[in-house]
Amino acid sequence: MRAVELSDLHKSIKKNKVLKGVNLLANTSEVIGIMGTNGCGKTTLLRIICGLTSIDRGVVNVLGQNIGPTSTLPEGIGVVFDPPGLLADLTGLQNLIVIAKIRNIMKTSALRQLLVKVGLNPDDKRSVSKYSQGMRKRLGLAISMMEDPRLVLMDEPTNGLDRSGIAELRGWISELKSSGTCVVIVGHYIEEMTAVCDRIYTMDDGRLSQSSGASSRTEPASPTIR
Amino acid sequence: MLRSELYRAFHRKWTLIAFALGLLVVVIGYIAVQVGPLSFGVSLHEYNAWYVFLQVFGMNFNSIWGLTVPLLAALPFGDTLIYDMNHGFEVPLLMRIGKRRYFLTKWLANIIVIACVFGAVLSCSLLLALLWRRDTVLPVVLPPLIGDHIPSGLKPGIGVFASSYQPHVLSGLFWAHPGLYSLLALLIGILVTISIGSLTIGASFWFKNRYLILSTPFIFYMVLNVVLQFLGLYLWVPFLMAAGYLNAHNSIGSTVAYWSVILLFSLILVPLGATRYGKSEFTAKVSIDEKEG
Repeated sequence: MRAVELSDLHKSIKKNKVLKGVNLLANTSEVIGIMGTNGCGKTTLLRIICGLTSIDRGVVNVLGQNIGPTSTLPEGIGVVFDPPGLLADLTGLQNLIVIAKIRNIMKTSALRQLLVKVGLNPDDKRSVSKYSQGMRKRLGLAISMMEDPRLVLMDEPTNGLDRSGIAELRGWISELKSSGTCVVIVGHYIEEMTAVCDRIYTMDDGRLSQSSGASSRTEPASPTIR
Repeated sequence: MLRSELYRAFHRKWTLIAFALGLLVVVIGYIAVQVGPLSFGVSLHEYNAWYVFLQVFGMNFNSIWGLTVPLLAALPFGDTLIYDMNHGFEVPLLMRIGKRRYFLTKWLANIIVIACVFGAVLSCSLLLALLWRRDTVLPVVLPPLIGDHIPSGLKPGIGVFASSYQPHVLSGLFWAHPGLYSLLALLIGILVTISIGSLTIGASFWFKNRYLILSTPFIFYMVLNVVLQFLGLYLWVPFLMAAGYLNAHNSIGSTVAYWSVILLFSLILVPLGATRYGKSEFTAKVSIDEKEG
């Protein structure tokens, strides 16, 4: 099943053409990596996929649903940007509770387990403002993995994580993949990407092209890049 | 979403700080009233709990409460929207609900929080007034004479005292049922506070600085009063319903209408701002544009 399908995507920000006809197919149980230099439009692409940024032209289909100004975003998308959006004056658990209360799917016990899974103490009474960068990143990742997402978008997920954190992150991504979730990762480093991604793309001049580093991994079933 | 916002509001320190500061302002107000009534020329027979309560929280534009409440009303949850927009916390929320619900819930949650905080402060103020002036008696009970002074807040006083002052739409209510009058004033006080405090949500679409947004109600209130004074309409600007029998200019109707218009204005700012927000690209306020240049 297709998790993400982008077709001829164009986007300009302040007269600057950020995306110039991007195509991408990502399936469930697949990990996709997108690399590129600062300002090339990687994060904008993630925001478009999760419906936070409008497009000038093209088609965005996420989890079988076209995304547009009048459509509703499908449920089951988790996202973590860099830096992750957190409530600094609440504790880690309270941050999760605030989000969980919207849909009321996850109970507090499940949220506590999720915090333990990402290496945070659910009983930590400190506010997030006292957290280190790595702890904030872990909390952001926990938010992205809430409510059993079918698609997870990660913007530079290794930023701020130490070696053990990066190793744990790989494990979480593998878990997500094996549970049928599609993971799209945006980052800078080819080593990190090749370790976890099935396919890696490089964004250059507003277009996606398959990276040579991806040849060792699974090839896409059909041409999905321009 | 509303439950989520209320959970967030009541777990942040600023809600508690706003409540504590509100109480502090009230206590300072009581001290000022205790020191000042005779020098203000207020007769002791009027100086009962109901009167003191009303005087502390809105006798006039220059009262401590009147000056500080626009700032205090913004404090508990006024920065909820701008915080999300500046820190990227709107992302996980917008992923779960639509923009329209998100913005309206922010507005609604803000006014509920303000109503709770200031309802609690004003209720404490009323209780404090009753403790302060224990000689105040319920209107239905014939009060004893205290020295040469007759405690007010009593039915027998209606004819004696009410006729001494300018007629007011609710002066009769004050004399007949001062407790009811004070509760009504308390409710209007809450309406006033949520009206002025809710402006912060609308302001969040136009300004990015948190402190400027938290100051918006105060700036709005001051500018409005200066403009209305300039137009000679000062007396039609009731910050709160003052002691009705003393202030003939502020009718309950004009007070409620005035603040309802501001509340409506605050609500209208939300869809207007949301439209503007959508046009200016959501991303402009979040970290990605900073990062991607």
